Amino acid sequence: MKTRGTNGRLIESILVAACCIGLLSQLPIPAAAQAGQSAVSAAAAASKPTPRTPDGHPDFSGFYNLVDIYHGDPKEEKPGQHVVNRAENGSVFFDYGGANGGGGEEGNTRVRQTQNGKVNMLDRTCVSCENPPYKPEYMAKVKAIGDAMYGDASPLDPQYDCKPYGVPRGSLRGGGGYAMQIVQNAQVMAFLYEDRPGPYFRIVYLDGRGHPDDFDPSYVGHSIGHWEGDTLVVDVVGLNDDTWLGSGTIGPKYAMMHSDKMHVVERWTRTGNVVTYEATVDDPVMFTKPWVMTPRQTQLAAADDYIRPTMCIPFDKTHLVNKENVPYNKMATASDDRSDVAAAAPAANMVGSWNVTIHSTIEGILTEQWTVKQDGDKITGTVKSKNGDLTLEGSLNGAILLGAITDGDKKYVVRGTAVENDFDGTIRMGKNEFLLSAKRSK
Amino acid sequence: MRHRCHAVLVALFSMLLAALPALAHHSFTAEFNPDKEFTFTGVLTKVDWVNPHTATWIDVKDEKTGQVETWGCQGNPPGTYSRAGVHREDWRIGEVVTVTCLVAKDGSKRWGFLKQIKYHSDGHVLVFRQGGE
Repeated sequence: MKTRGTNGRLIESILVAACCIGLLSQLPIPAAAQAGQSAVSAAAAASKPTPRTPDGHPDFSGFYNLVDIYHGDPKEEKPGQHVVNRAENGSVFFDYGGANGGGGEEGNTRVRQTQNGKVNMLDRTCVSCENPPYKPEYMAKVKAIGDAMYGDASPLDPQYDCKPYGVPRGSLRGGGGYAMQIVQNAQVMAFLYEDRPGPYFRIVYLDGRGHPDDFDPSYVGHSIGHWEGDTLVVDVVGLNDDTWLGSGTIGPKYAMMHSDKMHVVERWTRTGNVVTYEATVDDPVMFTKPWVMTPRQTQLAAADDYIRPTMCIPFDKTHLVNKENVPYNKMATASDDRSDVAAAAPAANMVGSWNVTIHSTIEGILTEQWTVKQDGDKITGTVKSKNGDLTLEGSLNGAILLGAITDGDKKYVVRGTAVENDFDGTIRMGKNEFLLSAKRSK
Repeated sequence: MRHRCHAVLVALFSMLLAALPALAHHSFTAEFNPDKEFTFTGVLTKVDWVNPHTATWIDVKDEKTGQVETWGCQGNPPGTYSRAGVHREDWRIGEVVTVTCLVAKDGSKRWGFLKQIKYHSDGHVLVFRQGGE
């Protein structure tokens, strides 16, 4: 197997980025300060010593990522973590948001954030966040867009064209992910973002210069910073009108378009390993008064995490539907709907004896024998397992089985795909879901 | 190379699971029906390791017409896979696979959300779930 995820690659990535923007006299990789944070409470992260630069200011340098990384011990899984298990035969079970910790709901509808040094699972739509004070004519527009959206996704959102999140939406994360390298010296603070539209950067000048007179608007604008005590105050102008302010994915739902007259004042603080971001946004064209954003936080990534430069390709945009489940893109026709095919598709034949292997991450490999009967799309069966003889019931839709094995008062949900003499999928046993593969013996 | 389309099959998951939380990976349920899956067999030709979502591409031969069509299934972001330990090399290009995906809500043919890849050569599988669905 190839070696990956080495510190060498991390350093290489940073070097390349740093050389490209030509601003560094030193590489700030405080390895000791980047101790694994994903499993550490935010309070603990905030209580670490705040690194300082030689001239005494807080040093924001470091690699930040809010996403928890799961390292493979099922006992250590936590809600919201992305889980992967590998079986000895090479099979892989991946769960976005963590099935095994039983935390799928939190993992998917909420994001792990820290506020005031405390870990919170914030509603990702930020329902408690303040919406921008749009003038009535603009509020009517954003309401119309927001109220038509399915969840928080609209094809009008520039992120679905893989455009940068910009400032202030992407200040803490760049694009869709949460990965951000900060590189700081006395003259500049550089933000190196991982994704959308690809690896890109933002510079905040700390050398006392002003804004240029001839700056053409861009996605990250022109930023100048100064210190007020331990707070870095950043003034941002020159932002184009091709980004949104939030809208669910990050920030409140009705935080959408803005004009290119927008002016952002950011306040950055670092306490231990936690960075807090506050911003006041003024848009004299669209707002009735400045918008004070709800503060956001991030914290240092796990010690073995590193930036993964990736380009963005907008596959999603053309497939989005509105809250009525109607495609924004009207290309689809009734004849394209697979549900018609589904109705016509016969159930797979699962009759027979099956040798079943369960790749439990708790108990190791378990074997069972299923004897399956079938009546149309309904299946019933007996299961010989280490817990004795159990019953199996389920239904097939085409090749897809959804079933359950009853073991006393416990039910183990089985899901998978049956193709000829193979059945592959998973079984959920209590809080844990395991890979399951079966072969028909007769 | 042998590659054939077994069938296009769709499932309605319903009864056995209690009402499950909506899957809210930001655009997930705005694009895919978490209750309908379909299965097909073909040759794995490509994986796009790109943001905001990976895409897996499979060449499928229509048994009736003999024509080869390209099917695609979207997956989770590359950074998400990679940080959890699922890597690009898990997609073995050129192999015959049976793939299960969720149906696209917009009715797109040959496009879904990746749930499972089974490699015919050695029978190992990649199974993908969305947060305890």
